[in-house]
Amino acid sequence: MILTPRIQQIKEAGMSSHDIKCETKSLAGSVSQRACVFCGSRVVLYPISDALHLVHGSIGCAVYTWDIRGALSSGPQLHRNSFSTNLQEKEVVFGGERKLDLVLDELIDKYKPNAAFVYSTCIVGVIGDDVEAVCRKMSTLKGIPILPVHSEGFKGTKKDGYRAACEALLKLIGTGDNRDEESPHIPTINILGDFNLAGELWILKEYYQKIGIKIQATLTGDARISEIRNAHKAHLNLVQCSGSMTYLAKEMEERWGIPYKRVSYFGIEDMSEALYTVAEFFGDMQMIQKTSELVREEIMSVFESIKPMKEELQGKKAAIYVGGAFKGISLIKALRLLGIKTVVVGSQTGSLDDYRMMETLADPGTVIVDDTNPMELSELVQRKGADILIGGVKERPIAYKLGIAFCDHNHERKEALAGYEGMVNFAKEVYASINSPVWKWVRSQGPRI
Amino acid sequence: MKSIETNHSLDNGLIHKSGAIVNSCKLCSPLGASMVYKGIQNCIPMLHGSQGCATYIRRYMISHFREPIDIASSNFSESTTIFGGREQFLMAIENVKNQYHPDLIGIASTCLSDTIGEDVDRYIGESKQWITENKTQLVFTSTPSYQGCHEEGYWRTLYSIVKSMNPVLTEKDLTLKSKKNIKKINIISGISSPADLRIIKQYVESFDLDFTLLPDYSETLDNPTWEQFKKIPEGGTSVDQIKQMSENGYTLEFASTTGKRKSMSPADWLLDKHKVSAHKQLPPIGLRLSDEWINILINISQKEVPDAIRKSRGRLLDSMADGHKYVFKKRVVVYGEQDLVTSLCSFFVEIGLSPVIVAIAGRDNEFPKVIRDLFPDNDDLRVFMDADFESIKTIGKDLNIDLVIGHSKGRVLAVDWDVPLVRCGFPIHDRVGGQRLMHYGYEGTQFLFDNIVNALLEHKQNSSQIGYKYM
Repeated sequence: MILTPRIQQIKEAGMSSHDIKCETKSLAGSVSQRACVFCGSRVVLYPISDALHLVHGSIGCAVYTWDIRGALSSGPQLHRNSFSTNLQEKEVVFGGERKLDLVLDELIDKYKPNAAFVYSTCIVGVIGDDVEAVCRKMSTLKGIPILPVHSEGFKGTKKDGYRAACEALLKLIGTGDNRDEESPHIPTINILGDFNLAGELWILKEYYQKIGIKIQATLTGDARISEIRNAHKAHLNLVQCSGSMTYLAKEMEERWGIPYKRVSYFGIEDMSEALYTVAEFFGDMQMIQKTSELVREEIMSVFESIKPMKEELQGKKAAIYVGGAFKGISLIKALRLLGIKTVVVGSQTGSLDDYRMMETLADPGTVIVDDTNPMELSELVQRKGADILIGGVKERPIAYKLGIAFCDHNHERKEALAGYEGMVNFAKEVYASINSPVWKWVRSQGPRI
Repeated sequence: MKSIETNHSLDNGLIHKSGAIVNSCKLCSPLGASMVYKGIQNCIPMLHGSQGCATYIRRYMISHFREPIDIASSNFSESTTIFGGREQFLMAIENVKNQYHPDLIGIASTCLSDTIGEDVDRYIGESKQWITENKTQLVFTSTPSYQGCHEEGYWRTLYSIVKSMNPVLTEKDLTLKSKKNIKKINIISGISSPADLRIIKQYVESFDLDFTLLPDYSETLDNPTWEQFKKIPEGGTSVDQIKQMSENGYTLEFASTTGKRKSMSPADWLLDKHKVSAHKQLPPIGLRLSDEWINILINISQKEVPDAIRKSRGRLLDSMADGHKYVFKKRVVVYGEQDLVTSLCSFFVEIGLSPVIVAIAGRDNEFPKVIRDLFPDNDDLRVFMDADFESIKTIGKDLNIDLVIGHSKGRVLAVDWDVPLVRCGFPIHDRVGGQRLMHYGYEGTQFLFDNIVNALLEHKQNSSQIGYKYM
């Protein structure tokens, strides 16, 4: 059942010349899988591990985001705590600035973070707390950056949250004590839009280091405030997760002249492309040579591992519903490598460019959907006969109730799915889920008269 | 030696004087409301506010129940906060109706909608025609998250529903009403697992009593596999059943009776306005509370305790003898919702566990006394309210704790102190089967007791180099 106002947000690839409608507010009552502006901000800033992430609001926003990401840190674990000013009725009536002040004071003294982010939530937007002023005052007092994040839930969509987070990051970049020091002489990049879920960033760093690239800052997987402050010293920004960090990359280009390239690390095609893009940017023959060797080696290894699985997966059909569209695009290709055809693909926050790209890649007849909901998704998945659904926590029960396989490709994941190693893990997870003997039972009727 | 005053010096040990909460024990009110609405047949919950609230609460509940949980939202935008939410509200109920065709849309407010003073009752009042045309009822509860916690939101919602569906009758209506159905009882349950709700139903049925259980999410939040896709999971108390609660003979309510709960008791409403006799007790965990419940059922049904129940009680007692030495005076930290924690403490008295920190998600100033009355000789007992795990972790560090009992989030305590965690309550996010955990009646108590004893035995076995084969 597709609600009338949503009809333009679904289309079949190759069946019409109209563009899909996207980048719009979710329809009231539709049960969208998207959360709010605050959610978008948290996605971007959460993994910064040596900062205090303080949610200014009532308890819900903080407690529902307590340690829900699989964003790993090689050092501090401060980001895995949930800090809230726990606004009560008193603050709603008289204002929460005083409490925010006291809380920042107490928590900064206790936890000694290298910076603090203060997220405004819905009611803060309404009661009119001057969060910026409190942050400014406390920053002077405590001697660390305290960044307000304008993430009131109702002020737009999740994408506006990404932007609010990027604005906060921009206040940090270029502010380090040694900010005027020269950029490093060896090729140096920043990695934007990877959050080190299940240690994926560490896998990627190894690849880049092998071909001779230095990583200046990672925004924001396994991030540290001091690195972010010096991010302006890199020669190139690599942007994954098109939705969340492109804005930051564009601003960095404008302010510091740092060019950016968009990449993805899912699937061997895009992973290889991500390496070549960097090597070609620096134009270093030796680096290009090393890249070529690395790519060849890794691809051979991946093919070796996935060959037996591919034979059995050939001809299966997949449905994809993810947060960022870039992931959907990569997955279409990665699945093709396994012999799996994508029959439904969608995202929460895709842009027109993203969906056009999806349409180019997908087979004719593939359903493309923007900002879907359980009713639509379950219908589409059934109609197109998908054998597996790829998505997050809110998509998983739909798959299991339909009696089909599932791949956890969300921010909570514990298996690395990026890079060459990730491609093998992805294949294994898809294989394991599709081929489990349980489905024979789940989809069958029990004893009856 | 005996300290029974409420302002005990060891209470309220929250370490952050500024009022910050670090790793909260409590969840927010709309979640409690959503849980109740999920216990009503063919009902879709809807939150009036930003869509983040609905999505996050869905995610949180899905991770525990591992079931699809659809909660709609009226999706406030910036202009909504200025011009009001009527348009969004009307759009939302229309779209929910078009997609799901529910019998009821259960609406709850969020801190945003309450802060801007949304009058949802008025929107509902203006929607009478829509309600009739679409055969979809609307019910509303105010549950802002800056007030109370999820348990309070749960009870406010239950009270709202029972009140609005069993309104006060005029004298004339009262005389026209049929006599009470004395063999049918109302059972009102607090936050429990679907497995607990099944135990309630099983026990009551075995006394040959007809009943209405509210809310009944024993199926909706624990559906078997589907042969075909369902818009709304099967199960739940029907709206008709709720409307007839005022005609039933008795109400049994499993709830605390202190503090703000006094104004949120559906049983009280049915008693005061509809003369339905009522008995309120804490959730039936342990012997004293389970026996109290069974005695009520005996009185109402005038039947002897069924064999199966008598024997499971006997087996529980037998296992308590088997396990008594492993648990005696073990020092325990327990946390969770107020009702669950109070009943657990009652059970701890029966088996000899010694609570050292008792922490609840919400706040009720009469609560510390209730707990201290259970353990009058325990001078080492601390009672925390509006609790957070950072405080519990810090204070408990030097208290030689043996065991932690509560939901998944308390694992931070167990790891820090190197002691076992016995998972119970809500949420269970790091194991499967949260919805199948049992706490109520003799079966539930048995399940709990076995888990507690085995956790201690496992810890002892693993902590020793000897590699014991018999424990």
